[in-house]
Amino acid sequence: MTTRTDLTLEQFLTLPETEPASEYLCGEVVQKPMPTGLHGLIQMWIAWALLQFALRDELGMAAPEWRFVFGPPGEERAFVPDVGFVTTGRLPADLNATMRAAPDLAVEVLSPEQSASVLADKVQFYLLHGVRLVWLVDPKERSVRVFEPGRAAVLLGADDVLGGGDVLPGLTVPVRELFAVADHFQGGR
Amino acid sequence: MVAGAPVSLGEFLALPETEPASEYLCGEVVQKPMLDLPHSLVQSFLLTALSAFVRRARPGVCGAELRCVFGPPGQERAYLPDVCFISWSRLGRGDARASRPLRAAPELAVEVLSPDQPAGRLAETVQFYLRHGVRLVWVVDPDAETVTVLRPDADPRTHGVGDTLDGAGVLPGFTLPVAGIFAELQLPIPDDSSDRSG
Repeated sequence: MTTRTDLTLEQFLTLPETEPASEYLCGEVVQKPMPTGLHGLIQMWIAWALLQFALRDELGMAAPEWRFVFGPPGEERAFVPDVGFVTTGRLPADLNATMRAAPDLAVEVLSPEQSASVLADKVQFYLLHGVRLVWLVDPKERSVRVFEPGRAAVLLGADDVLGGGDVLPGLTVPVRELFAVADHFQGGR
Repeated sequence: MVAGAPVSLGEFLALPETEPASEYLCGEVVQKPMLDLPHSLVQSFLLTALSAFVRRARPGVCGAELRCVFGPPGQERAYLPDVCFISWSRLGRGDARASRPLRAAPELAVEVLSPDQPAGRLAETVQFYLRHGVRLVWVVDPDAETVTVLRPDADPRTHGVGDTLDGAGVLPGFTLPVAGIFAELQLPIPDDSSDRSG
């Protein structure tokens, strides 16, 4: 849901958080789609897998529903990726403070209500302004689309392996495993 | 819809056309979503508006569902933007019948969303467009009444019914109020007199 407002970014940031979370772009407040159980499960599984991998070598921190404020000065936007990952050197001293920088990796788990135009806008903004790796996880297609600035997008299917790229070197996640957790509770297929 | 075994671009281009049309990306053949009335109305309106401008200024040609084959060598894709504009400089000279299929990226590509449009696939399409020569992309959402404008090196912008689209560097001088696009979705009240005369 999109609401046009006269709010500045700083005013937006003082508002109480909504459920689902809201994002801010150029005066517009956009509430994320209502997550489903399947969405939440995959989101949590990815956050957990990233955190577990990153903790071993102190590579960084992953969290779901983490707000990032970034973009060109005066044109910053506020986004809440389904999972955000930040490398150790870029983590703020106080994790309660608003993160005024882009995540290194942003993961979006698509839901049936996801607006295609909002998503296309978001991916372009992410890639232009410092997000080094974007994963679009599509539970319906059982696919993951990988975007990196300056590189061709890659579409991965169930038989492929998702890699951490330059952000999480050495990370490998078989795409099949990512959706296996859903099958566990839905009886498989 | 995604077909089974990977095919080459050459094999794809030799296949008979499907209804709705199919696109080709990295070995995959993907059929476009079935079109509905709002899609059709918005697509026709935009084609008409752009064609009227292009016919006057004559910078190139507009088309609907024009198959465009482009991309890095060996990784070309075949897309059919709902509406597109291509300048003469990209089309080359001579007889249009020699340009089958068209092996060039359009300067402007317009995608009109359908309710069942897969969001991830559209994001992929837009990124491919912007990386491989399309200078301006409009994603038109009939349900949200918005037009998202994307360019290779500029922040994306989503415009609502109070805003006006412009041709940016691609069609200088072209302007179109967003409200006009979605006014097309209000069907006129049938006129009884035309029924009688028919």
